[in-house]
Amino acid sequence: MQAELSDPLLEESLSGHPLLGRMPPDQRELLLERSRIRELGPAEAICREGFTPTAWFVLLEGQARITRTRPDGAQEVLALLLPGALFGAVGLLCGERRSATAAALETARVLEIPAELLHAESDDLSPRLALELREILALSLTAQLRTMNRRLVRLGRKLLGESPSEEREPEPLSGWQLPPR
Amino acid sequence: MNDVTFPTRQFLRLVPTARRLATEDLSVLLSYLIPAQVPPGAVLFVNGEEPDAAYLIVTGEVRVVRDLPGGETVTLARLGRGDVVGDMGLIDGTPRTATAQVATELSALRLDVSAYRRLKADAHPAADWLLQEIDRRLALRIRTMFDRISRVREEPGLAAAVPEIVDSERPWYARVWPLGAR
Repeated sequence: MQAELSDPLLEESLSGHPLLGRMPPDQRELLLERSRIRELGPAEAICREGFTPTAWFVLLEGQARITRTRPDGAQEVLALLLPGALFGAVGLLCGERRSATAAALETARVLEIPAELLHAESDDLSPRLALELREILALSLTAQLRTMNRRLVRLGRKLLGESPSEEREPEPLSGWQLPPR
Repeated sequence: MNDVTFPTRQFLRLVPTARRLATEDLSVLLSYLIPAQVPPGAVLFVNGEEPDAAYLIVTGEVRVVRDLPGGETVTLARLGRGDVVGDMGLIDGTPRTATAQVATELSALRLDVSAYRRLKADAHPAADWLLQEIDRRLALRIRTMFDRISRVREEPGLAAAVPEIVDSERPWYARVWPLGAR
């Protein structure tokens, strides 16, 4: 289902998002004009494993889950997503089919951002919007990698018998410690 | 900008996707990349330092290492020709979380954080290409990481620990934006 996008409350709310909130307001408005909002029911797929990616997403409300099919046919959970999560960009950026399925766990809303917005040369778009979105993706992917690295190091320490109090890894991008624009 | 720029043809062999850049934009990019020769045993950066640059390896090997309790180190990655080291710090400005040691004589191209920010502020086409390239490389690393986690699940002694990697705490974005778009 596609919802009405002319929602001033959404624009105001997105200005508080840790990554989309960094965009200049005119670029965020352009992003909303060029994107669409999807409303999903419980267990409804947002994007599916094996398909060619044409968009990436921001979870606005509700929770979602990323799963993929193991060689034996079983489903494995790769990530649980809360409102604010950016997802669905990995296959797009690798130039490959989707390696996982994202589905709502409950009633949810997502912002679906078309892939072509990442290409400054694709139409009459401001080159600034493509640059803004590319940087937002880079920040999001970096935070995701840092989180995974941090958890793997913590797991390794735990397996080595080190106590949790020796945790030294800061959470990525915590406390709005984002780089200057 | 530096006085001696890296040869264009060599750069295109090293990073073929840069062919998308117009000749003049590629020249601007190369003018920001500083050739560096670093001897074996030296470090490019140390865990905990503020990030100052990223490096594209032309020749040589860099090992990304972490200290372990008891004074041991573990090698997290071995990087060689065409690989980039230090790009995450370039993007988010967060202190280094590992040390980059030069294993064999290194020839690299260094991009300073200040140069990256200048290109971005100018919305230069070279900044757009640079971010496309960094996004692509980060995405490939995430895909590799998920594959590794899948393999961990198959290890009898480690499978129980996987939920801790996938879902052990509230994610950073949810703490910053706790209510979502409500």
